[in-house]
Amino acid sequence: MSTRDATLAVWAGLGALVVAAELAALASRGRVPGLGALLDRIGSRRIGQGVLVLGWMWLGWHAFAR
Amino acid sequence: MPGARTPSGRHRWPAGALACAAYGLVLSATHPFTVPADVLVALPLAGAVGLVAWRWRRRRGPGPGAGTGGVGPSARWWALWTALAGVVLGWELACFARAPRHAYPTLSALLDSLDATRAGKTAAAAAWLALGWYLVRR
Repeated sequence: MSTRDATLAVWAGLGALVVAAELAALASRGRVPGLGALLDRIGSRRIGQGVLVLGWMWLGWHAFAR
Repeated sequence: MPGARTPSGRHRWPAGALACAAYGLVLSATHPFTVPADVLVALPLAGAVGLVAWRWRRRRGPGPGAGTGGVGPSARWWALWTALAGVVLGWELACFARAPRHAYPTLSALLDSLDATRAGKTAAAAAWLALGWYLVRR
């Protein structure tokens, strides 16, 4: 296994963990917070919403413009 | 009636999804470091800043939904999400600090791979716009 394959395997594992946690949240019908609830919680304060929106802006500029 | 949806509300999600897909399709035809790409990305950024500022001015107080994030029985799940975010960030930084990039791809490099195809870039741009709408609509 090459270094690239190993790095990608770790990314895949982390992605699988995120998906598993989100599925657990969906299956719990609200008892377990999912990604949406996490974003809602962070964005419930202005500073949190500001940070999230700034991060989103940076992501778009970084990915599609520069 | 609780739970009833107005016709406009019923059509909001498909219309929004269609708008995001159309935007993604148009943006996928541009190339980074060009004026069309700059303009097409800057438009939603400007819209987001304007919308957030407008909403903040309308709602004077601590924030959009302050008080909704209290500590409850699911506190350990918040800790799990925080730990997961920390691991992802740590791995991103570990990859970023190493070279060559081909052997240690960061999330940006993975996104670049997705953006390499028209369909992938369309989907990524549509998802990005939808996420932005989700974040500013609160």
